[in-house]
Amino acid sequence: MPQEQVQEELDPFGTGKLPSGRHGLPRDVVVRSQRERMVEAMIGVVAEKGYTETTVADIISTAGVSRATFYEQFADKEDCFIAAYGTVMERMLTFVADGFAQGGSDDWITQIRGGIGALLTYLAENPVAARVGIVEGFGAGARARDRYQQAVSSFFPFLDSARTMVDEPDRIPTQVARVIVGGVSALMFNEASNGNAAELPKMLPEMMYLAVAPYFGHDKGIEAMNETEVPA
Amino acid sequence: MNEITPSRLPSGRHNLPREFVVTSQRDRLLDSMAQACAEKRYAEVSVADIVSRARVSRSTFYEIFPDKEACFLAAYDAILGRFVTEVIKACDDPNLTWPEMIELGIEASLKFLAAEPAFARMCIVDMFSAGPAALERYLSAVRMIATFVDAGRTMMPDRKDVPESIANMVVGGAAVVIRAEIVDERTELLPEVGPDLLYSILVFYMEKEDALERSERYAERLGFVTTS
Repeated sequence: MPQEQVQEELDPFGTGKLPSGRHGLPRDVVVRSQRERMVEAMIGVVAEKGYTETTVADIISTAGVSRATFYEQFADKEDCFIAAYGTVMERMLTFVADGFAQGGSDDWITQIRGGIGALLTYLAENPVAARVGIVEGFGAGARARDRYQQAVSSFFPFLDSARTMVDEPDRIPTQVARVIVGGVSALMFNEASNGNAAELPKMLPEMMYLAVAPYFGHDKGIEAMNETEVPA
Repeated sequence: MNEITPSRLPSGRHNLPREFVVTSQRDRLLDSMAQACAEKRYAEVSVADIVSRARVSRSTFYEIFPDKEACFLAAYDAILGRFVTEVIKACDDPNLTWPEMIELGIEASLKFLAAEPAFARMCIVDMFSAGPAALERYLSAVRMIATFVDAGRTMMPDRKDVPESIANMVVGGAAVVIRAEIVDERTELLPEVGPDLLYSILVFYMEKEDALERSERYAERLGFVTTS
């Protein structure tokens, strides 16, 4: 991934580093700024090199902080990655939540389409986030995996609210929501790991079929697919 | 994993052909790798762990494998071969309908994983942290299984309009369900998610009611009390 792209995505307003040397900034402001820089450095370096190859030395040189500062704020590389991963996941989930709420509709299909569509658009426009949030989190150990599971599980209630609209909702197996979210994330993983996150929005109609058919059956799924436009 | 792993050969001088000794050492290393991965993360497994478990020397390890990753991939390939054989044996019968084939395939897969927790963890959890070659193997296994699922489009009536990508997504989604069970240390209970997975696959390729009934019959066959 080109450095400028990483830089632009991480620091869209060009805020960058605080002035070095003596200044009158309160200590907690400095600490917070350093923490943010280290977290953003972690996101950028992991997107470029992958989690395994990333070192603490990469982080401190990119963030422009000392090794001592790093270890004041993080126990180790994994600890810093978890903070970075959490930041990326929160940004992604914010987009999804906005997507669901878009248009203020209470129609389930419209909300689901808005949520998945917003996520796909976000990933297509933010390849760094796609790489770190979708691909690298998987291989980075148990804490990252728990964080991922937590994010994934937060989608289940949205999907499962479809049960209120079908006959005999209890007959639909419990794991259906997990299969749908897992299927969407598996496809995102494939595309993001091949560097094709930009292609993801094209998959929205098919993902709508995936989300709708398990609750409402094949015909409704096809209908939802056919009335779904690929986001611009 | 005792099937792939003969116990240790008698030490000291013996008349066994060298090739046989190497095979046995290799098998022990493969088995040790899988066992080590069941206990800790792949990243934390060292060549020292593997050789001490397998009771072979470090130099023997490096005669057989260039590095830890090669040993991991060889262990995965060895046991994947057995997995595929078992699953195909369970569902490759021309007299079976497509939904029956899917049901028996799911059942055999989950049974195998439940009986081989080390392999289950290796192929569904550790494949993501063991480098690009491991990841490519994982994705190709998913694609292979997806071809069986995608056959539903042509083998079931009126389902030509199901998108081709659904099979890959559904198999990936089923793997997420399985991964969650393994991570939560319920590997031996994996067969219980079978009926849910069956519904989640069949519903795209047949009427919803028919998919529900098949899933419920599967649950009853496993001895689960249905809630409805």
